[in-house]
Amino acid sequence: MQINQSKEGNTIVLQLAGDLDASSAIYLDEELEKVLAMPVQRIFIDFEALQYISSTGLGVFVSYMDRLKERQVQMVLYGMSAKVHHVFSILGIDKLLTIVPTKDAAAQII
Amino acid sequence: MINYSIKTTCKKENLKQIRVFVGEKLQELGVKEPESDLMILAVDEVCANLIIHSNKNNNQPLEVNIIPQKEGVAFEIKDQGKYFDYSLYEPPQIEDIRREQRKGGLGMLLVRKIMDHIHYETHSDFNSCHLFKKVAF
Repeated sequence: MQINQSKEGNTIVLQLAGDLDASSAIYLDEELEKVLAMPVQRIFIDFEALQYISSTGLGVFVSYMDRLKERQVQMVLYGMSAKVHHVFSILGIDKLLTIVPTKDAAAQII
Repeated sequence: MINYSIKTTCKKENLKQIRVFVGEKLQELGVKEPESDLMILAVDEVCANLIIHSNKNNNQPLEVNIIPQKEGVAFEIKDQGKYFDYSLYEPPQIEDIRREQRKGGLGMLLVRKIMDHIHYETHSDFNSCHLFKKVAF
């Protein structure tokens, strides 16, 4: 899996590409730790190039939910394929996170 | 019907090749998306658990067998690590996983949602996980 980080104003964008599975989720975890060490207000997670996600990937997002809330950092996930979105929906995790179709839609969330 | 088998080792890096193998064989068997995607995910989750928890990411053998059946597809996943006693498994609450900031614990929940039958066995020199998913071919 590849992760590309960029900064757009007060938003950090993490672009994910490839497969987010038990062998690669650690890299996303480490990247989110680094981002949380920054004075960030929003984190965008771009899924457009992500082809696969397993429970380990889901678990990384779930594990950060309360910390993000405490820090008042908003995380928005966008650009998911139907296949990846379905994995979030199987356990209802799509209802716990902010998931929108596009980056434009993410930018409109205040 | 033909059975398909892949033999590899209990390294996390091998999960991708297992997913590719299962995907190719399910396609050959005529299993369509999204059912095939869900079965690939379930097999991946079981293999990941065996690699990480039962075998500690070592070089012990890991074998995945795909057994087509009249009403669906069965999978047999064999390893030689610590036996996972599924009869003792208690499904965690997602809210607890969230509150405790745990990275794991969701895999078996997914497998239970996806598969119609889950069964674990232990033998003298190996353990096996048996999964079955009904498919309308």
